[in-house]
Amino acid sequence: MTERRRTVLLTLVGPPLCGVLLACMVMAAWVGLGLPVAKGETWFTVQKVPPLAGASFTSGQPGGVQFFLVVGNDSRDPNGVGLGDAIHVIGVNPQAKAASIIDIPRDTAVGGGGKVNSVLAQGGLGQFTQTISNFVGVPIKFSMTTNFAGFTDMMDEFGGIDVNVQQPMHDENSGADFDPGPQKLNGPGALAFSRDRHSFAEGDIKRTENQGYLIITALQNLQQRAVGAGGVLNLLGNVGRHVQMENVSFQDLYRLGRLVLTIDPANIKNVVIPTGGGSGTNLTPGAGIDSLFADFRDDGILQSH
Amino acid sequence: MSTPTRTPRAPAGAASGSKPPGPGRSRTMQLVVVAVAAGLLVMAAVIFFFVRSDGGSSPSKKSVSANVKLTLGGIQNANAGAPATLGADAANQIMAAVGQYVDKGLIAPVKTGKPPTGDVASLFDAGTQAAIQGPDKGVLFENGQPKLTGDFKPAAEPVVITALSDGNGQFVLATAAFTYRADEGVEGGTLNTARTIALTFTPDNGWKITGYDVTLTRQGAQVEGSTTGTAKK
Repeated sequence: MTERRRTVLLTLVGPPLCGVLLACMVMAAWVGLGLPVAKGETWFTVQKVPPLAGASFTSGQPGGVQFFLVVGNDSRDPNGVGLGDAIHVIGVNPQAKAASIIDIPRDTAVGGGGKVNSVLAQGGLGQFTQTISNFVGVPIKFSMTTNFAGFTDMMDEFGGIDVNVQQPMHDENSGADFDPGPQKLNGPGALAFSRDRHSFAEGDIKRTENQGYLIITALQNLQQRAVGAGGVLNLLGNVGRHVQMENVSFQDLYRLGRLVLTIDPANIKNVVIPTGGGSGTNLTPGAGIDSLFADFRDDGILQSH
Repeated sequence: MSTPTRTPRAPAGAASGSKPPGPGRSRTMQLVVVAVAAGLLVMAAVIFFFVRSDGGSSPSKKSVSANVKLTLGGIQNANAGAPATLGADAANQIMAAVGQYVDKGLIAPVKTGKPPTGDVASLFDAGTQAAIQGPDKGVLFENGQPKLTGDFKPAAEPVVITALSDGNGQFVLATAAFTYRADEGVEGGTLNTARTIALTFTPDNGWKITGYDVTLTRQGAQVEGSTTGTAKK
């Protein structure tokens, strides 16, 4: 090859070669540093409820009874928080490896005011948690809320959920279209299942109960997938990309996950609070509610309900 | 079709009539391009390997126990944010703690016939102290009974670490999982002990054990059938 040809070749090949290598360098930094990897869409928000010192998850797994609040809100905005339409207080007793879920219909009038579901939209998760905590009479240490998009994305990411539909559910409003029997629901299907109230004579009461059932079933599904301590970390790695944490650490989430995953779903009771009539569509707390809350409050387990 | 011929041009700004590039100048240019390319390649490699491995060196493959072959089998990274790899220093610290747990908590008691010393408790964080010295003690540790009267053959499978990084790429939890078996010559024959162990670590002045899943099975001499115990935290 002549010198002239070499010069031409180098002129032609050199700059692109440097460009390719520069691109390699940028890619190496991309992969190595991971800077450009965006956090995923938020599935849910979880917060530790002040006073923070009262939350025993800061040191070791709690041995005592723990109370949590899980709220589904109706926001169609992926980043929004709407009305608290699915309200569930969960009591976990680690010693007994048992738990109970108290389901509160969204139209329940709490504290002499209007429907409780509006408190979430107006006051946020903190105020809503305090309201529910006062209503039930238990110290709720952690609360979490998810909206339509977060819920469906989360369900889809985990490959759907296996449920056993108890009675026909065919409702255009929610999109539910399920025959009785075992079903594998994807994200939109699970959302429709938890929103359907028109398929039942009991309306919202049955819907609220179904939501509690869905929580238990989700736990069952998770227990089959997150095997062992390493499995919990893998699960957290996935969930962690989509959770907005307020005063909560990954150690908290780990202990929370470990605690909940030790509970046998067969040892979880799911009870809707009794409600009476009320003005308009409001539901007043019904007879026997004090007894229910007292049974729940002492050890997180419903013995007589 | 004729191919136009070109006369090499003088570089811009060069005085008219200056010498056209000769063989020496081409070689210089060639060297510059090669040097730049090599430099970029080296930089890319350094960035990739150094940054990604959080320190460059690989975790030690040596046994972390003085009594049994206990090595790192692999690391799985669970990232809640940007991709990150558990650094060699952290992996070595975790493995060192695993080695101490095995040596002080499982092997020394068998050899000495005495319960483990308080040293082993320092491997665990504050939140676990009550449990490891209470209800979980019998599953987590050997207590020196029954007395060793014959051979002692401990064995362990390689340790698999699963590590979780937070949204900032900081590692906040790691689980070291492995199995441990020991055949102990005791009065009446051989006692077989097997443990499946998962120790969960959190950064705490180094790495401390903050949770565990341990299942213990004993069978053979001095055991009727087999006994099983579990300790979880």
